[in-house]
Amino acid sequence: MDEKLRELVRDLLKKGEVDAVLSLKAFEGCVAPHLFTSEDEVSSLVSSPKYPVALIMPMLQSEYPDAKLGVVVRGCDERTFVELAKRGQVDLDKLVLIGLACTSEDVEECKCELPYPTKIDIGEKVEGVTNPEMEKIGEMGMEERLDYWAYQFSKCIKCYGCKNACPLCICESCILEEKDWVKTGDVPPEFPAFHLIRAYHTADRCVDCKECEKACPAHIPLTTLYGMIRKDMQELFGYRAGEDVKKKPPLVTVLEDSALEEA
Amino acid sequence: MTDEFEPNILAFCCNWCSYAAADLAGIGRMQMPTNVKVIRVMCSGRVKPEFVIKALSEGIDGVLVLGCHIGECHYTTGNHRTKKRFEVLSRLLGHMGIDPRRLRLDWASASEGDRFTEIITEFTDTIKELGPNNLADYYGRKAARVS
Repeated sequence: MDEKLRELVRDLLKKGEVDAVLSLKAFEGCVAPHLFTSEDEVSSLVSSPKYPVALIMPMLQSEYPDAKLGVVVRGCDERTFVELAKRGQVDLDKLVLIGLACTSEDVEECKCELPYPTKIDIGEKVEGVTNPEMEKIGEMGMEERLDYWAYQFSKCIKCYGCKNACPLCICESCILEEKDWVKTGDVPPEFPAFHLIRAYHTADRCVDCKECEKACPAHIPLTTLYGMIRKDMQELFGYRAGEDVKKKPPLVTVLEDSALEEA
Repeated sequence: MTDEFEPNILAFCCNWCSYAAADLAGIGRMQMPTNVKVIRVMCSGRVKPEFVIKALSEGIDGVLVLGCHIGECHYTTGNHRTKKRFEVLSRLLGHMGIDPRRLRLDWASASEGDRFTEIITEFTDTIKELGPNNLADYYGRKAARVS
């Protein structure tokens, strides 16, 4: 699969369709994101592990505003780019997305609902799965849920890993770092305010990339909570983050005319 | 004094409608429970969900957010956003195991002093039924009780 991807990237570079391609490079036993500018380098390109390349793109595009950049994207990366574009962070017109479908092992690991991009260039489409934890919590009563989350969040060491790993946490100043909202020196942080605020903030942008949960050293099932809100956003507003670049996030828009009559 | 639970309730009232409704209720000497502390905001759209989260997290038993009726907002669409945000927040509270009934979003126009009284009375009863909110006691914190 990697060889096929390298072939594709070489081809794009050779034809001059892109100036460079952002993907992952294997070197000295490590894998790191890398901007491939010449065909010779491409032999070290790899497709896994999953890495949120979108985290770097706003920086690259502000450095090279005129460059036509290719980028290898998984389903979640593509959705991230859509959400970033809505918020003016990346210019989709200057990007060439190379779609990579996740393997069934990836899907199993991430419990991903939509493990493929809209246009698949490499790999076979594997259907997504639903996170079984979500159903479990749905069946719990109120008190049981509160106990579950109180336990989960008691593990939090307030490392801000979830926030830093999130490719869509793009605010320049974060409310969770303001001491009026989050008292300094408290570990675990205030329950439930800290995590509720973060969960609310992800409501209209979470694309289910699982980076927060992977970054969490305490293994808090954050994406279970975020997944439940994502489902609500779909039920309430028919909105799925990362689906359509023209669809504005519902929390910043006004009600539809039909709903104007009365709440 | 009785030992009956007297809840602490916070009400965010918008300057143009619900705060005026509260005023009218006062002028009209309408009777209602005194558990509610009113915070005046210029628009219900000013009430960030974080305000509510923080209030509940610090031990407030219930939060009311009152604005103008949809279509009557002084800023035209301020309350549209409020409505959408609080629908999401209320679901989120439910997922966390916090009874969503501790949060109520409602509308009262400047002439609806009686409606305001009704909302306050109903909501106070609901919260009395739900009992105290003990979120502030988690992880060894102490609730900042308003007396």
